[in-house]
Amino acid sequence: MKKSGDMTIGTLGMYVLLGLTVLVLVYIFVIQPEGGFNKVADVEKLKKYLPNESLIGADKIEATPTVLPAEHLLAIKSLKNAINATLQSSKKDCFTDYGQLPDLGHRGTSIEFRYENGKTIMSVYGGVDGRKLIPELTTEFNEMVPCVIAGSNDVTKGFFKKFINKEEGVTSGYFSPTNYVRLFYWEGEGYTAGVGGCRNGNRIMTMPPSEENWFYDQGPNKYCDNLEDGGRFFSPDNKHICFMPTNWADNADEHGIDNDYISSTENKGIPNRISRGELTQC
Amino acid sequence: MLSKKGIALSQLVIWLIILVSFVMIAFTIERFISKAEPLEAEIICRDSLALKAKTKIEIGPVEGSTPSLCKTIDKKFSTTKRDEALDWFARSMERCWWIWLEGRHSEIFGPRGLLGSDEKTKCFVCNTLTYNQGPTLTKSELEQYLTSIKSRYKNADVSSYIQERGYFRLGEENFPSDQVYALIFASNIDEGLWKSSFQKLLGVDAPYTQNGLWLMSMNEFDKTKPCYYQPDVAGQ
Repeated sequence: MKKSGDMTIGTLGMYVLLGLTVLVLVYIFVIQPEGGFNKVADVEKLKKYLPNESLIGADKIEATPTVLPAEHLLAIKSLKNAINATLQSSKKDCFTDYGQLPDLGHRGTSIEFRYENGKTIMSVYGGVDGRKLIPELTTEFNEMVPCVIAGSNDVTKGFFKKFINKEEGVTSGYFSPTNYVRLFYWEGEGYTAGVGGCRNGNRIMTMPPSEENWFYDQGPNKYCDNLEDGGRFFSPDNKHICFMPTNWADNADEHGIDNDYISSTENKGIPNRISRGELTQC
Repeated sequence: MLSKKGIALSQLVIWLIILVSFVMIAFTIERFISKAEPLEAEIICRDSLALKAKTKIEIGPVEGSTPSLCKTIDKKFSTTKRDEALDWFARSMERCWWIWLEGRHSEIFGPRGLLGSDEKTKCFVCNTLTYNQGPTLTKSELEQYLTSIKSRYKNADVSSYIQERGYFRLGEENFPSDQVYALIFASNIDEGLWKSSFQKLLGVDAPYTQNGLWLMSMNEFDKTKPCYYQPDVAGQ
């Protein structure tokens, strides 16, 4: 009697035949020089996969264009207008109110300035995860050179003496030109009064952020929200546009100027000196 | 009627046949992919990705699909003209995006780890671009060029074509010649830059949702290892 699982010679032969068939097919389609797979190598037959010039215009982009939050858009336009107005001004050592930037948002909007070939290009990024270039906001500023009031103690102390203490004798070295400026939102590590830490807020860096320099704590790239500039920049000569990074404690150090003198009501701070006519508006 | 020995032998033969067939098929596919010319390799890669996306099965945390049959393609270029150099980089980017299905499919390299535990993006190097001779290009120039040329695949500029479902990241400020660059497809699994944020430490930072295309120097790619490189089927 035949048990379940028993195999006849015929069944075994069928399996052997099946195996041989697979081997023959592999030989025909793969190993043989003119075999099936190798025929795919005939580029002529692949032309249908190539992009066809006549297809241009066939499919439209389905996604809606990236749109920034309205307040970001307004602030960026205001910044752009303020830079253009300052470049055209004839006043020297002057300050321009570009309008306070709103919080640019974690993975939100960022603004980059690059100086190259005698001009500065402003690029804006935003949208999903803050990574998309917004081409319509890209702007060229001819002959503009970005700069910061930071980078060394000499620079910031010189600036502090000249414009905040109103001391005589500082005629140069009170700003640092740079090829790159980025304004963006910094998600801090949590601030506790009396303990320290960093608050969330807008940040300025003069080098493209990377894993290595993300926590860089030198010069203008302070590891914190450091753009409490009251929505104002400085221009010594209608060519350099200087952002003013801030610190929280020292009057002036390599990170920038104490925010009390840049954006708040300190008597000899920049806002009060401008309102009293002791500093020039561009 | 076959004896027990006969049954065991027949099963052994069946398993041997299956094993040999699998080995041969795997060997021939690998051999074919590694020998394939760039155009064939691009098409095979794209089609295999489309199949992979269609055959994806998820059962709880376990996921399965057909393999991707992709290999990194080396390209070389020299020119004296700035526009030609820009065009070479831009068209390579556009092509890579097309091959990787225009970023349509999320987590194409596999699922995110539990509680977002992946520390880095998973990625594949579409091309090594050897820029032998030519003018130094800047990041802004290349960005502007991408927004100024028509896509070959959509009625839009190349920048909009890529940004329809993803983003591009130019990882260098300047692109001088005599350098090798990596053109990378990066999946939407987390990226290192943000991993230290406060929200991330708390584990409440939302995962990234879009695929991207990165262009950076090969030296920088080797040095910083910005993503978990996914090797191709040819093992190269």
